[in-house]
Amino acid sequence: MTAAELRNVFYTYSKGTPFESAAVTDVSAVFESGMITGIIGHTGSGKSTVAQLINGLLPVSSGEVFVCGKNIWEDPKKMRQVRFTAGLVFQYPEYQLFDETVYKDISFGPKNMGLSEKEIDERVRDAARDVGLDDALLEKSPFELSGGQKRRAAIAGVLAMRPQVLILDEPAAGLDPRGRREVLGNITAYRNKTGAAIIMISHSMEDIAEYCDKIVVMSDSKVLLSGTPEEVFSHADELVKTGLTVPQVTKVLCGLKAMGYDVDTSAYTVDKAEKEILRLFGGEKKC
Amino acid sequence: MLKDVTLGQYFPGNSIFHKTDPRIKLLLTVAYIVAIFLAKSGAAYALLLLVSILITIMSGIRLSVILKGIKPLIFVVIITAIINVFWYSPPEGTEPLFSFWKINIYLGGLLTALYMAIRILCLILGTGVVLTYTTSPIALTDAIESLLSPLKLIKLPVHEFSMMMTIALRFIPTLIEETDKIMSAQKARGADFSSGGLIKRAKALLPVLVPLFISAFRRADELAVAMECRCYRGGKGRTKMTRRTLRPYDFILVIFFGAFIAGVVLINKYIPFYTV
Ligand SMILES: Nc1ncnc2c1ncn2[C@@H]1O[C@H](COP(=O)(O)OP(=O)(O)OP(=O)(O)O)[C@@H](O)[C@H]1O
Ligand SMILES: [Mg+2]
Repeated sequence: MTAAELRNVFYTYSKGTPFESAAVTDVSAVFESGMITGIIGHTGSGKSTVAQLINGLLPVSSGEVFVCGKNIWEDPKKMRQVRFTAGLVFQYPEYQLFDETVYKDISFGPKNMGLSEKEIDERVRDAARDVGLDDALLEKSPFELSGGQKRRAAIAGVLAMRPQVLILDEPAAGLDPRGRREVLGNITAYRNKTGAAIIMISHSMEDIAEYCDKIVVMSDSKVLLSGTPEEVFSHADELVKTGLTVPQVTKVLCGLKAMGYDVDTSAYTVDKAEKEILRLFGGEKKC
Repeated sequence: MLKDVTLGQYFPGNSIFHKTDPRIKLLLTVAYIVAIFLAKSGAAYALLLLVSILITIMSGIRLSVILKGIKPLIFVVIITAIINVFWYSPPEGTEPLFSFWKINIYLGGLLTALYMAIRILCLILGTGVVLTYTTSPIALTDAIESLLSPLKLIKLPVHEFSMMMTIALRFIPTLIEETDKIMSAQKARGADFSSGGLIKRAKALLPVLVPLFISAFRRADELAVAMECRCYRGGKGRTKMTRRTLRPYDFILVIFFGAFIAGVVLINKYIPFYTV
């Protein structure tokens, strides 16, 4: 089911001043429930802008944005409702923590939704569990947490609103490999539990390849490619031309192909590439 | 949005005002303000308006930018003008222009109001065009440091003062950007900054102010460390990357403004139409 959709969306920053810059030009994309859609692109390609267009933080210059089947700009008075449905976790969300305790900070969103005390309590504890935060940490000040824990607390603040569309802007940026895996694993678990549509912005081809069901590639404020990982990574040349890369293993396969072997270069995870190489050399897995 | 405040912002360009030495511009701004307050005769005010519009055109700043800068101040101009109309106390025996109920409107009152509006408008246009729109903050503080440097003789910390100003100016856009970002992030969690009474709105700002202060302190710390790492030890023996020398257009502008002030004074004296 389509959970969110952009149709021919344009957005220009600082319109009408000398600093005018077109950040999004003619972008159309569909985001499905129960799927993780990755948005990838070089620095300044408009990914964060797209994220803010989906939940109505930025007004479209032209085009339409649909969340759960409704055009969000039809009735701007209901925009708060849209923000609860389409939860957005900003880049470096730990800088938005403000309350005395982690618990209170996570409850900020649910409180704004006007829920009952009991419901809020349940949601806060649920969200904290979803991101792997200990109950003991809930009563601490958010400023006493480590960087990774702060990140989790901030993500929990959005999860507690139980959004049907969850947008994450670089959720794993600046975390160590283990922190990355855990946070991205938590996000996948949330998808499995709730069937929400997840939109994940990332710089890392490896992360995108491993966790996403669909990929949208942005370049110079436009959508360059979109589709399943196989489809996208089979256009390795185009990706490289715009300054992006393909996952390491896809590079290996491309190298093999360039050497004249007949391999399918669309494998993008280590497992799939291993199978492909084993098929090619007719061997069996030894260890 | 906060970003759309354009008054006091620098707009890069290529006009004579952009090229002139910032020290000269600073002095000319003072001269220009003096000229505004010297004007008495109606004709002098006309000259003020004319020159203000002329330099605005010369600066090559887009009209939309200037109008945007003026817009928030229009209200102030109108209120000042209205107050002037009613508070005018005429000399004995002046006939009111017209009167209704208990209120008398005098010609002098209307003129004062008009002149006041022209003054404020010229102040905004002139200081904006000559100084803030066309001078980068770094050039401006450089100029201030250079002009104040005689005060070093009486042991005033001129360099430190100008460094503080540079840093403050440098961080205004950063802080505005940061405020925008934090506000967006809290809005994404359903924060509502635009409804409710005064107290509710002030409370709604707490989730913005706390992260903003924390990040401002963090930035200050980082900046201090970064400056120390590059061996910043205050102003003593510090040299400048760009040495400014006066060039032809500096003199052109000085002559132009000199003629302008002289014009205002002469007009006051010889063409005293509608003087208030
Ligand atoms: N607040 C703003 N005001 C003006 N221009 C902006 C603003 N934010 C972004 N831009 C411009 O819009 C373009 C897209 O920015 P955006 O933040 O969406 O890029 P991004 O793909 O998220 O990049 P990154 O990977 O670095 O986060 C850039 O060219 C940027 O300079
Ligand atoms: Mg970004």
